[in-house]
Amino acid sequence: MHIKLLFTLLFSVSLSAGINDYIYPKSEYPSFSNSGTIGLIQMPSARMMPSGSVAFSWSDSDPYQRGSLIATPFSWGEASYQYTDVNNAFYSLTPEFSGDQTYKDKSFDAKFLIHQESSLLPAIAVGFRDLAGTGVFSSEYLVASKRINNVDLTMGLGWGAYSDHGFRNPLIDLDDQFAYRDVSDNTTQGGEFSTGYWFSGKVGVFAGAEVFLPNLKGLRFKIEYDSTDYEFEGFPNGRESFYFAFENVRQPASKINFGFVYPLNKRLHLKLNYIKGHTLSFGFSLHGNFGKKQPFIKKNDPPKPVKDSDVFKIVTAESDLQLYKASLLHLNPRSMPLQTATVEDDKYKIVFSQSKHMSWPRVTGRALRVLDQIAPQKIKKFEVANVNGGLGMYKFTIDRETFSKYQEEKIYNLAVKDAKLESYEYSPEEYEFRPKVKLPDLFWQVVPTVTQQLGGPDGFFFGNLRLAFKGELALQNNLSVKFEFSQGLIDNFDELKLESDSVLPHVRTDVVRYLKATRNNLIVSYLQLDRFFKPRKDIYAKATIGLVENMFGGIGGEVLYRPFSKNYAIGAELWHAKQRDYDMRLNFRDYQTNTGLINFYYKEPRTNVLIAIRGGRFLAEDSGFNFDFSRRFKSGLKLGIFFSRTDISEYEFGEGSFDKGFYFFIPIESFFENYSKGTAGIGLKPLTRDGAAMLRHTHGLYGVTEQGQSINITRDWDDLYD
Amino acid sequence: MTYMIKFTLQSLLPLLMMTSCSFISYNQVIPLMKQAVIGSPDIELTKEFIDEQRYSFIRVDLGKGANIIMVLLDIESNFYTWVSATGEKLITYNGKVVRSEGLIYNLRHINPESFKLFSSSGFNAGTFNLMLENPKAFVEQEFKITLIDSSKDPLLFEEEINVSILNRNYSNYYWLDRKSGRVTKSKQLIHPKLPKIRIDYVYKF
Repeated sequence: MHIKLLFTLLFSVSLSAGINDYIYPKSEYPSFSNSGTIGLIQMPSARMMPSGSVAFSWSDSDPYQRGSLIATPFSWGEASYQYTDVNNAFYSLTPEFSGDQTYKDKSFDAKFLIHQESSLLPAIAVGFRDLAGTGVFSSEYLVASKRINNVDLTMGLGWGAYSDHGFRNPLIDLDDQFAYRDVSDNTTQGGEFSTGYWFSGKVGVFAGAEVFLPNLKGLRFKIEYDSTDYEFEGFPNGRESFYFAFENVRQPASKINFGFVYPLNKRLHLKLNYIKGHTLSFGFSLHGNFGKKQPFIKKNDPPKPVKDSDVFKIVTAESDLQLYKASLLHLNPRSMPLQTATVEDDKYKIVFSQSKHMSWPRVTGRALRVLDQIAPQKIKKFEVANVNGGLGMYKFTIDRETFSKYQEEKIYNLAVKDAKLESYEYSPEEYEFRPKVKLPDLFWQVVPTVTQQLGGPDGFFFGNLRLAFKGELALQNNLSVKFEFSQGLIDNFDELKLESDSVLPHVRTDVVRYLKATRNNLIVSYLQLDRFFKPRKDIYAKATIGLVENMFGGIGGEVLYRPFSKNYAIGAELWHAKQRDYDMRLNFRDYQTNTGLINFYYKEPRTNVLIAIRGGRFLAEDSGFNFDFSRRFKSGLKLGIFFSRTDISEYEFGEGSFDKGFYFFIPIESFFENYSKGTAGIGLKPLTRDGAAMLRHTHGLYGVTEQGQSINITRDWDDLYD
Repeated sequence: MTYMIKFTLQSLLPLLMMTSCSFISYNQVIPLMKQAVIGSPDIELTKEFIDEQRYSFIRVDLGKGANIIMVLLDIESNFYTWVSATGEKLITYNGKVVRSEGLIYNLRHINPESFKLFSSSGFNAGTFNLMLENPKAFVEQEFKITLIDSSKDPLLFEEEINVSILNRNYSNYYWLDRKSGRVTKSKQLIHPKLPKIRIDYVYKF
């Protein structure tokens, strides 16, 4: 009877795809392992999140508490950052310094899908754990997963920490170097990609299943054979394995782990497991797919129609001035402030700016809708141009009839077929109507902000809630002062203590001093005077002076060549930077330097992957290159990784050996019914070091001129009638 | 129908707060958080409110923070079509929702006429066939309708539902006005992925 029940639970026959979504609800997303990647309980699987997904996972599995940030830039690639609190080792050998703080290990994992699941064959993935970290969790694996009805079966081979009870490595037949895995040979500062021992040493076998239980609100049962070598992973033997460790890791009484995953909703999973035959572990994960146009909230921010449109058309037919005034009246409240306008025969030309929409076709389409509703019948063509910071970006010319013909059915591809999208040079004097702006003009807002340090050695999250007064004082069309002042309200910085041990100029590693000196004080986050130019077609320039970022002030500038119809851009920037005092007011420290970079950008149009290579002299006077790869998704999510190599030695760089990390920018509008251009960004590095540090000046030219390149407009043509 | 939207928001706000940085406009977050946690104020069916309405309507309460008014658009063969200001539709038959359009999750009864509150045998039983949408699935429901309180006005009916394939049993309730013979209030589960809804019916004829 019990066997029958178990069989029924394990292999419930699928009735139809549709009804299964009700029998096994919230099963769209795979679940996370305690290692912080998609997987079973301790072991990985070949499953991946959909492309564009971002997740946070947290688990407690003695002696580790682990927080993980996981990003899936491609359907075939997953990258994750692991922050592990190692509870059997102290923070340092000095008890007065450590207190009760335990050791924190930071590392990166990666997994690549090498075969997609088919009706007969399983999904197959290869993965790397603790890449470029200290190596205490280092493992590689080859894993296959196959779903049969409501059971997802997984089996894999593991090297390194996943090789318990292992057998002879078959790769030895290819090369003898695969016979031994001597991690102690790694004499670097940690953080190197130590490819020398990958897939070396004995091989372990692991296997398991994730069972989707019918009609139990999405509850999943997991069981696995664990091939983790607990005598290898972490600091298993107390001080015998690591000076800072104070007790042994409890060795397993059983290799079979089991547990449950309960999805509270399709994005939040809770888990409870029994591992190693004696330990309860638990955790949760939170994930979302930002790869879709509207990932979570359906937008309720439609274009606002012009009331009494027919009346406006009659009035605007009387004189062009009436048309200009009507344009001003209707574009400005719709967050598309009119800059200039003119009528040329049957063509109506306007110039607008905007800071609400991420999609340029959407805002262009909305401007066209307004013009179509107010312009007199004599207007047969519209030319809508955009400026940013006084710089001309693009102009879009379309027949009025064409635009309105496809509006109701939203057939954007036919609408843009004969329309013209071009680079735009802004010359206000070419326009008859130039509404006067009273200068100087101040734009400001008071908003709460959070200064934060994530994944630092003292703890995972340190934050300071602040109240900020920020804004811009426009002095001329392309000359403005940007500022942010803030006052600290509440923080948890008491535990922050790590001092810099860097042998380089402390351009970044004094971050704790900055955080502590500013916690309850009024600070100037930035205060800078910017002037933007466009000296020639496709060439942009910026000159800046002031307190350009938290840690540096200076004077400098940037030039960018960004041809409108190409996918690349080349720029250069040069700064004289002086380090700001820790209290982030108006005083400076002694350190000053010249820094300059040549920047090259290339955007691959099919995948929307941006490759940015920056080379030159960095803030700590080291020279070299920074490589940055990022992908933008339809929702506006941006996922990126970076690394730098400069002319300093691993010793000079310090722990971590070289600069590397990953980041993501999440569009705020994903969580709201209204459109907005804001993003929430997180950047993660294993360690903050001084090598390869760049000046983080705001309003960099590549960002300011985004719509100055056609690829960033054409990618969103489907938004034209949104 | 914004209930599901709010549900999603509730689950995502921790992420939003966690990833906060200077780019976030918190003045947008605070009211939304309040709405997600506390919910929107109820639309109260006061005499003034009812008098103000020109047409028959229903108030649909989806739980925390989500109650909406839907106006009677059409009656055909005892099928009442109610429509919201944003275009969602509910079609009721004897007070039971037998079809919906424009919601996040929709349904369509194949044999809605089987739903009868009164029966000569004292109870009415049978099988409903219905199509669920998003995801699409065909489901059979066994039902039994019983008058469980005849002592009061309105009469209270219980509709017991058993969906064997989903291993799910639940009851819907209908309050029937003796005088008009119409359902004036109901509590019913219309879709497995939606919470139970409460409907108040106000007839202006």
